[in-house]
Amino acid sequence: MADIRLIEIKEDILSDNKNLADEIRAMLQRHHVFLLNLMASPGGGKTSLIVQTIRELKDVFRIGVIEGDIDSVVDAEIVSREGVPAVQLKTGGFCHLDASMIDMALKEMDLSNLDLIMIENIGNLVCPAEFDTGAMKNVMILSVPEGDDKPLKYPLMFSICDVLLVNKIDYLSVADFDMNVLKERVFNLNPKIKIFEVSCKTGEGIHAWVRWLTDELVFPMLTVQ
Amino acid sequence: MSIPKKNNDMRCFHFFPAVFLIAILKGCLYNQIMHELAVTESILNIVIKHAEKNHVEKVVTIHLKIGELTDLVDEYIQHYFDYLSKGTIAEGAVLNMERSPVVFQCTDCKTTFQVSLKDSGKIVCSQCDGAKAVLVSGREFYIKHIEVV
Repeated sequence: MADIRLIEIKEDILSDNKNLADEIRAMLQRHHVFLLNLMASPGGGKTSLIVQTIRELKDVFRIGVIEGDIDSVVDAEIVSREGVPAVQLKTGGFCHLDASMIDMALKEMDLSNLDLIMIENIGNLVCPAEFDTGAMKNVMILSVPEGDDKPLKYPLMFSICDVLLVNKIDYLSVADFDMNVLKERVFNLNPKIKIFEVSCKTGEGIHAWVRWLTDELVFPMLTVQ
Repeated sequence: MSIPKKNNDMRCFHFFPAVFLIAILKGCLYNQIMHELAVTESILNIVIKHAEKNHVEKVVTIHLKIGELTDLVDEYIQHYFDYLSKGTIAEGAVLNMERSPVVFQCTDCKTTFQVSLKDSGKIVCSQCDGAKAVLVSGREFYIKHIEVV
């Protein structure tokens, strides 16, 4: 039998995706477009948060949405009712969006007429955490009924996000959910994460989130121009 | 500005046999293991790239380093790899997945300590009981080396 040789590789498994994501970020920065990647479990409130955010900001910024869905256009229809352009990506089975899918969606959008694009990623807390989409910021939603133990089960998702929105706080009085325990678990994994407590239903806390997003959009623009 | 297309074949689902697609959908809906397919395809592409560069006859073993924070089901990776690598120089290769534990370093006393997040979730320094720590290992996700003939 022939001798077995060893070839050193030391290459990141998802380096192609990461490189394309970096190119997307650079391209969007030249167009002054801010790309936000929103992730959550199914039913966590991604579409509701996008709708609330559009209502708060559509007079100030030109907003677009990229909807990722395994096989439906329901969310894209809800979003386009708000009067903003929405591109639907049907992933046909894939449960995450990657940089090449976002690249395709961006080619369908008029970047010179947009300030903010929100990606509604596929609903789950595992796969989307692994793939850089090219977004400037990663945001996740955890809704109160899901429980305060989720950082223990999906540590990667909590460790890669810049913002955690704890949604459905109107359920807190009836849920076995300890906000302090949750925050401790999340900060352990990710000391830099920003946490906002919101209810897309009552509107509570939405202003603080929208203010953060506005700052993220406006301050880089001020330094660039 | 045009961005060079890469990895586009990762999305060519309609070329997959229906049975395989159903298996994927099931995995996605019930176990959320779908990203293993994309990961496996990346592994295969990188391995073939290096194997061709080195004029290799056959790839025998692929050694991966994967942190415990990454949710990957080993059996699925090998299963998908066997499927995707058919007819390539990497066909029949065995994937060896070395897991690196989740390790934090205490911000106060600089001690490093291992944590099992799924058991307790408590991140407390084993030396000084400090609760502030930074992650130093557990997110590894790369191909170490390959054994070839």
